[in-house]
Amino acid sequence: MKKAFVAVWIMFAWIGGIESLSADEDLTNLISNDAVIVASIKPGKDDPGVSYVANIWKDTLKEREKNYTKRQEAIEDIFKQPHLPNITLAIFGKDITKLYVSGGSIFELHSYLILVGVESSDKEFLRSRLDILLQKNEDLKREAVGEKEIVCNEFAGLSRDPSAYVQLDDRIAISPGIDRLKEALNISKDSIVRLSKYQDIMSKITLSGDGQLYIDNRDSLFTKVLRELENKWKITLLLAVDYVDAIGVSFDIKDKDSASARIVFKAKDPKGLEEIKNDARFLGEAISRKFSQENVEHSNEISVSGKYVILELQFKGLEGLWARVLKKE
Amino acid sequence: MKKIALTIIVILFVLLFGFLVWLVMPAGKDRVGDIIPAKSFAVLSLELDLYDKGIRGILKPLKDRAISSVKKPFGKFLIWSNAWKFFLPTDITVVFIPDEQREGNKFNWILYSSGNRIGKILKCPIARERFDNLLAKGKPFQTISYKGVNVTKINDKHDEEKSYYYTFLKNWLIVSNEVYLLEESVERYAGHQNKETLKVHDGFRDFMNKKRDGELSLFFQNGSSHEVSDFISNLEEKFSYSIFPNVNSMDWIGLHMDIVDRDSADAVFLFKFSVDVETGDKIENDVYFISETLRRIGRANGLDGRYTIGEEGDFISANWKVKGIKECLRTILSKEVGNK
Repeated sequence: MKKAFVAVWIMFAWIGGIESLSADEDLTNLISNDAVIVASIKPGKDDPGVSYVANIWKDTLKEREKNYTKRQEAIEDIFKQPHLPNITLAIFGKDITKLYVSGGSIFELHSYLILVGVESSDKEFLRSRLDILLQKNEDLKREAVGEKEIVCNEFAGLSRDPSAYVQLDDRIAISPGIDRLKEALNISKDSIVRLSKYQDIMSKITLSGDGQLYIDNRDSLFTKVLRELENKWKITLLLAVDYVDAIGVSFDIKDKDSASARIVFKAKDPKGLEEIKNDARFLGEAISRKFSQENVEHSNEISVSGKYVILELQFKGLEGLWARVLKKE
Repeated sequence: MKKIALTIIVILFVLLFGFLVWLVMPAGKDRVGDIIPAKSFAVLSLELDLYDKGIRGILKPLKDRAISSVKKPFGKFLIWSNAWKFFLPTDITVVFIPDEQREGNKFNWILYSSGNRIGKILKCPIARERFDNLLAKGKPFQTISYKGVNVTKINDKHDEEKSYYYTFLKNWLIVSNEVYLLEESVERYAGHQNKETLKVHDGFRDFMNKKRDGELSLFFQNGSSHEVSDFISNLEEKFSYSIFPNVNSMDWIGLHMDIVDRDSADAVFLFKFSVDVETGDKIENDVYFISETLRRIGRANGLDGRYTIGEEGDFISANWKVKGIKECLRTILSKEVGNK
């Protein structure tokens, strides 16, 4: 139930019905340069691919919700809006370090930041819906920080659930707890967009895609996270993760039938390139074989350029798959 | 008088000792390929050379575990003194055959064990009856005669509907969960079966002939009924994942495994895929993916595997070297003990 709630939050933020920001506006300048994982969904205003997928998702949710509660109605209201917003999720290095130092597990991570781009005219509309979604049975606490107001529910359930938000002009920041929101309010020069490593890897992936993912293996934090996940899954996905400095991913749902993805691995040391290339080949095969079983046409290609290993994937024949996957959820 | 008695005792002792040595000495190998059922899906064969450094290396943790789990001092002594080793067969082969009567991936099995003289002793009716009683543990058992060979049927002590059948044939002790498999082996031994149905075993024979002493071999046959293809298809459907899409163009898969380092139980594996030349490249890609998946599953479980893939005529082979087997085995065994 809690997972579903978080998922609804993320979906809400994505398909929130608030007009998209223009392409120049970037939510990442609110994220501190300590972020080690940054995932963004940036659908174009009239992107045919994303609109198609979003409509299937909306229909599926409508079919499921028979007896609406107030919170479900709030979600429904948001879904009625025509366009899709930009959304970014960030996870921070110091939170992961703190977790591992205290002997915790990545599954206990309860600190992240979600940012959503909003249209100014929809501020009140969004605020009222967010209040309903956060409220539960308790009154919301409102705290003024400078000129802004942080709204939170101190009894929001599990510590990893979103429990607070703040509106920053045409952006909304959501987080479990208020610490990350206060940090976002005070960021100026230390945002991740000014980090050369971030700029470097993002310049290698296709910026026109619908979604992007940035992973920084700073202090081998990603190595530790991945090893923990691999222990749980009982399979090692990236044998050469120790050699990886950063990973960039972009994907693009071109239309209802086709999609493409690009994964870029930056090596710490050229000695690790062959191992990384083998990981990329395995990853490409593993992804392709999943689609192959679903009768989707696919191709994958690997290239090496300097310290970078690039995996490019193309898919065709996805129309039936979207409905099957989203309606199964 | 005392002298004569002493001489008789010594002679008896020497005879008894000689008899025991004769009893536990390997009785020679027989070609199991000549009697396994024609529709065999998988054949697992192990030559148990107890002096092989690899086998000794792998038996060590099993022995340690057995000593700690057996409570009776005499039992502990037998394990510690390695006396049990002399009663082990030198050659064990297990064959799996798809069960066409049941749904899903159900298999019948038949086990061939050879190389020990105990079977010869048990051909004596009195000894055989005692042995049957010992195995049945007081439960009723049945003896069936098939073409002059006595087959004993024993009911499973936990499940009354299940039965096991065993017999002795030449130097083999043969056990199965289905009587028809024993009967087929008896018929093949007597040469009653049509040789045409056994064509598919040419690959098996060639592969087994290249087996070296002390190796474990595994052979999968994708015969006219496409047993391997069906098995893989069912797996792919179950996991919604394409593991081996070109399996249909492959005749058989063979595996030889040999432990090469006694201390660490490091092992070498040779996988051999018999393929159609035209589909060789596609199968090579499948072999790469399967190899990488195995390597990555192994790594997550403490095994360090390295491999190379090569083409040799109608075959694609994957040569592996795996380190850390002994440690992995220890971890598994200690987890099992912990769970109990």
